[in-house]
Amino acid sequence: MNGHDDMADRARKIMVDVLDLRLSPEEIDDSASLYSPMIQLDSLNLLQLLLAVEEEFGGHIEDEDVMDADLETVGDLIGLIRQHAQATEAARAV
Amino acid sequence: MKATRNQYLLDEDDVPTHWYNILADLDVPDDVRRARPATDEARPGKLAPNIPLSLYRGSVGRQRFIEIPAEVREQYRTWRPTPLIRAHRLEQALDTPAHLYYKYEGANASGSHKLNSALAQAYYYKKAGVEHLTTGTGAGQWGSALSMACHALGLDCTVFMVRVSHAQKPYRRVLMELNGARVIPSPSGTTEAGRELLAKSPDSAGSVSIANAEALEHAQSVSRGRFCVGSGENHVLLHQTVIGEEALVQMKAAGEFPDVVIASMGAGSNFAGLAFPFHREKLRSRAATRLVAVEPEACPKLTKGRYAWDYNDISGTTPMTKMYTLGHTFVAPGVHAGGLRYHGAAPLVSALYDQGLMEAVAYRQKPVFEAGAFFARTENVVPAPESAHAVKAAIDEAVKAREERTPKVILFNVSGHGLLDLSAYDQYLAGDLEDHAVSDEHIAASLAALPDPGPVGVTS
Repeated sequence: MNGHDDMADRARKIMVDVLDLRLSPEEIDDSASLYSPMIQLDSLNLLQLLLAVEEEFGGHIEDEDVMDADLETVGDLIGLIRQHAQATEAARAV
Repeated sequence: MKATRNQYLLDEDDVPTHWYNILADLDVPDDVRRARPATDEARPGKLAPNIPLSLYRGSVGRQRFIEIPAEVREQYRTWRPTPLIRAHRLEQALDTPAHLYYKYEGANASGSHKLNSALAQAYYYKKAGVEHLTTGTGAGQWGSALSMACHALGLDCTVFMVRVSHAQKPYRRVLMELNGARVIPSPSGTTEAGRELLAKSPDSAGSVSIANAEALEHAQSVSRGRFCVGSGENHVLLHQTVIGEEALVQMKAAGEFPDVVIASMGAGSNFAGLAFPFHREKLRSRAATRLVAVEPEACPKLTKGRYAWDYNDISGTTPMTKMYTLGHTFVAPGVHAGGLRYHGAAPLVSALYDQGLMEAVAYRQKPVFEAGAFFARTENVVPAPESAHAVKAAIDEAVKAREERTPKVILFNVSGHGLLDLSAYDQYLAGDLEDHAVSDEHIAASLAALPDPGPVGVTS
């Protein structure tokens, strides 16, 4: 189970929508591997997902942030999405 | 006496400022719910994209025109725009009322259209922090282009070259090595995928699918390395549209619009490069222009393949895409047009074909070389064996126009020169060329190995 976290909830919902997962966002475990049968992410799906993140939170995700990311679990991916969302929010505030 | 105009040339300032994205004008479902094989096994390891997001972004949206980065356009200006040539002497030799025009993409140091995407990809990968690019190449045009682009932008480069082409075209290897690339004949003992294949078929001629599997595995072992491809992917087709964008302007200068646009078909980048902008214009003007892809009978992915989800490489490591395919395990006979031996067609070209918006024809090797030699003697340009497929189809259309007494306008793409393929022409002249075709049983066997896309990817 994952605790309530608005940003993470939005990220999980994007995963469900983009990957057409047959489960609810709350059922996605942060510790699950991105390659797990539940998620089955591949390198192209990852790009699709990141484009959906840009649409949801605005801004463009920097190439280097993605190419250098250490993505192994759902939690890692949520971390990357959170980093982008916060950076976009901060840029808007300036 | 009024001089006959042969060449339609543009100034280097006329290099297109934008690539054309056909997704704005083609009804293709969003490539979001991709096929994923049903599996109970979780693979270990970390996930990273192969393609920089900035490179990918422009090729999957519906924005019609994508701005070419200034740095890439500056590189294009060193040899683009390429000429559009009216093939008067070919017309006279064929005694045809048809007007024949060809776009000539062989006049750059790599010798083919592949440099259009190689430079763009090298630019985006470098910007994303990548330091080493690995790829698979068939006849070597893509490998040559990528090695040059990497050299120009200061990236390291490794090329897995299909073994039969590595033997047939030794100077391609030299050209790549001249630009600092490491060239490895595939299948090789360098990778697990290569070793596995060699254990089963020690004399394998190789295929682009095998070379890609090896390149992918190699790229994953290199620090700050990535695997990239020279055809098939949306972004590659996007980059090649500079060919058609220039041709549109040049045909306008000639005062004509083509009735038929012809290009050879490997995975589809050279076809898409010329044909996609004409697809847009025929929609706009409601012209009845036909778009024709030409493939070898030795690798008839459009004329005899199936529209299905499949992998791009023989190991099944790459994500699946929906395409016309002969199956990722298909290994075509070793025809000299190595660039046309790939088992699948680009998803965008496949969608165009599936919707009846283009045609495809297939030829055997000997008549293709006969057409290539005829073109060389009349137009003084030796076409690459791949390009000779387009020449063959253009000649057939011109002969048909003669028989029907119709002044048809024919535009075709000579995507590269054949000066590094002269050993193949030597075989043709000596009468030693083999005429390959594949049996229905061969195709059925590889189609039987198509992967199950699972419930997610089933769209039709």
